[in-house]
Amino acid sequence: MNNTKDSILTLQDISIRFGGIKAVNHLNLDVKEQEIFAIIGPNGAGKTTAFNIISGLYRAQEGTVLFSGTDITQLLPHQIAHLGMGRTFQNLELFTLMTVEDNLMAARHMHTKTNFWNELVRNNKVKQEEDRNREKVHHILSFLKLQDIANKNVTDLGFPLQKRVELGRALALEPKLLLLDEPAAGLNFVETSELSQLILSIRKDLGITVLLIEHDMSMVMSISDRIIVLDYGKEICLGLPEEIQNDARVVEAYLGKRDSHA
Amino acid sequence: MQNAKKKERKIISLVIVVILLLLAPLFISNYILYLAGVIMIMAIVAQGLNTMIGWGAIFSFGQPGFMAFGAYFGAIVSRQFPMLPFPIILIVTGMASALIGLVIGFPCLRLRGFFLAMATYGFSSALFVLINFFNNLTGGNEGMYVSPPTFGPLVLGSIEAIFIMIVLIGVIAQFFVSNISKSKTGHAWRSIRDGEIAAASLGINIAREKLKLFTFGSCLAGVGGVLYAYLIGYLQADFFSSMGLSFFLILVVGGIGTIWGPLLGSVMILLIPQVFGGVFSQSMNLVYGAILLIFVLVAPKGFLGLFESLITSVQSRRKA
Amino acid sequence: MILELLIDGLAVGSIYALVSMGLVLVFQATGTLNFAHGDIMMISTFVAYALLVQLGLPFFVVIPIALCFAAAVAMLSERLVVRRLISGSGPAIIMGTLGLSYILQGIASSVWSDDIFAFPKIFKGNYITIGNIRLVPQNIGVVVTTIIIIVMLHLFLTKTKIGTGLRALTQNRVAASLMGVRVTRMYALAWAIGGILAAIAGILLAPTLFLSTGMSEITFTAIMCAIIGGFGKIYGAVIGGYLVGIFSSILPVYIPTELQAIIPFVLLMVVLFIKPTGLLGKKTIKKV
Repeated sequence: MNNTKDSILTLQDISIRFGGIKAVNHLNLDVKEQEIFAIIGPNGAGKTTAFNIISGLYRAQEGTVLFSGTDITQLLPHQIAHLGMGRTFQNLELFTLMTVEDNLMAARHMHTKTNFWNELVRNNKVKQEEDRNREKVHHILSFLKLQDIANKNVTDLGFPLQKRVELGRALALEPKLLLLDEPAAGLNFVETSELSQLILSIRKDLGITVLLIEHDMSMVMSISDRIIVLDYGKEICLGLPEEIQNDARVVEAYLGKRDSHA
Repeated sequence: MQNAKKKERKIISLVIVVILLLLAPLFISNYILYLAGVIMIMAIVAQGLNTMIGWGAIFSFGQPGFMAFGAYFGAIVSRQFPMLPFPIILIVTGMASALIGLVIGFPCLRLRGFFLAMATYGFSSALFVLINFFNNLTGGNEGMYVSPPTFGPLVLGSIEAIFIMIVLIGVIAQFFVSNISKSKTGHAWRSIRDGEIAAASLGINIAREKLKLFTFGSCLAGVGGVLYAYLIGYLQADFFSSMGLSFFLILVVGGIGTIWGPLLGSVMILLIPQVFGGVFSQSMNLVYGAILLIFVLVAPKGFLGLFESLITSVQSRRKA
Repeated sequence: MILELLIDGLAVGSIYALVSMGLVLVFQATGTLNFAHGDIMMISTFVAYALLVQLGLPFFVVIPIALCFAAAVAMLSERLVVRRLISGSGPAIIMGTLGLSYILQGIASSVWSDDIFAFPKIFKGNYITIGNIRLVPQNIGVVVTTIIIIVMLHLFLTKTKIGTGLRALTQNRVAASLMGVRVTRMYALAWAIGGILAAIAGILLAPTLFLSTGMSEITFTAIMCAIIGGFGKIYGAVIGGYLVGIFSSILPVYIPTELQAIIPFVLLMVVLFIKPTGLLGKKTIKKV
């Protein structure tokens, strides 16, 4: 498959072991700029582990991770975030003691150009930066239609809204690459199709590459450019949605071998 | 706009209070000035702990140690360099305390919650032992006299002068703390408290920010310490080692995580012996323990928390 | 000479071991670090003192009463304070036990004052001489008693039904309750045992080190011993206790007096920075 676009994320031969189990086993992955790339596979296949390796929470024991050409294998999560990678979490990691707006403002940390001494006296520069960032946050809140609940505590919100807030927080980082871990989990049919539209416009209007883990097959098939299927930490299949849908190995991974059902 | 007016009113009332405080020495007895001085100093040190616990969930048992360090450092520097004006001494002590905080924080902050607390306790206690060990420098348990602060030819030997100095430093400290609270750094600290993993994924350097916070808190403790040395005029190692739990007491009563909590808590805690003085002097511990328990069981957010919930319940009743 | 110091160290270590064990047991079973642990020890020892000296009752009557008292105070604390706060925030429980600590100290100093009292020796005699070595019966008695108690505790935890239930609780609270372990009863039991261990330690310690309200400061040292040995395990606490005891006895020979107090802290630092999980502890990886 020849693509004239550059790779934004490359995993080369990535492996990690927990105790005796290889959670990720010689994984190779290549995501092109502005692609929507999906990782699917049965539970326990190592998908979130792969995300954690990519975003720096775990360190791979073998292999290399390249982000826009830079080797990030040994980097810490915050350093990777500085390079332009944002993510959401499977079980939501919102700041529960803060409002929606404050959650997003937290993401503006690396975009705020003040130092400790400025902040100690709270000079004009501090106030200007704050206003500038707050405006950016409001912009994103509007984009996500969250502007009306900006001042609500995130714990007062329903689960689908919380998920959208976490997405907004990741966007507030102004990332080049967005990692979404099961963004549609817990959403109903309508909410899921709204989400699909949202992801497509994130790619189209904001130019952000999206890498997502998902179980909702209709969503995956409808918005993904390419899909990789994992099982037992290894790649089972990689290709276009149509190719994946019809691949026998994928069916086997999810449903098991036909003969093994007694 | 409503918000701007509210802010104006707040600032004006604060300025009035500060002016009143600065004029207080004219009307108030020395004993009360002295007590008020101690209250404000304890509030400053407690504020250091407050920022650590309230914003970063860093439980430090080390504040008394840093306070002692600041006190002795300031006193010894004053003695070795009697010509130095007191603002210099205060700044240098603050920086030295921050440096010690950095040095101690660096290894300690690698540990989690409870182990971190015990490590800070270990360092703090070790510091007290060292203070006693180097007793040719510090006077150990026999104590050392602290020469009053000077500014060129001016000697601030009176308690009124020191009281005013404490008020001014207290105001400045509160100003700084309030500003940091609203800044990106304060926000980063609270993010770390609420979710370290998420904070890291947002580009916040967890290790560096925790260290910054710890250094900030220990700097406050050190400054409080040197002010204490000036106020009392005399230092003994066991002044500080018995303070251990007072700061936690102050924070529980005043409210952890609020800007005014430490001052409120300090006022309450230090006034109690005055009120109950005669009757309960033997068992002050009993009273403190009872207060701590009552607050923890009934009002975990301290007085300010009670105040807040009172306001919200009144507000919600109005809406209904 | 060294042997004598070693035995001293073992005696001190035994005390630390007993106190730390109780502390860790309570922590394991109820998730609470009881800052009032040393205070329970102190006040129970005072009660023993009152019965022994002021009422002149014999040891074999006084000790059971003192132990029951300790258990009662511990269970009351658990019931009235800890159980309420156990679901709350971490700081709340810490403050709660700190408050208890203050209260117990206050009660003790009101009833008995802050003076120092001489506590009668359980194991009488000044010296026994074996070859070149002079042994103090009190020290030997302390070590032997402690070992007996550790063995008894071990048997209780492994061979009895209740003990096994307690062990199950320490490893997994939810699973234990699902398997029919009466969790609240176990909490009370854990605290009671903790209190009893503390009281025994106090009664063993008081003859050598005098009795006073300051005795409760042992809590922090016990916490350090527990960390050194590995905070998760009860036997880690034992090892930590003996290590600190032995080092505190032997090192002072080589170190000036004023610095001696620093020994437990240095040990703590060494352990915390080399292996924070302690000598017996295990590392756990946090999963997201």
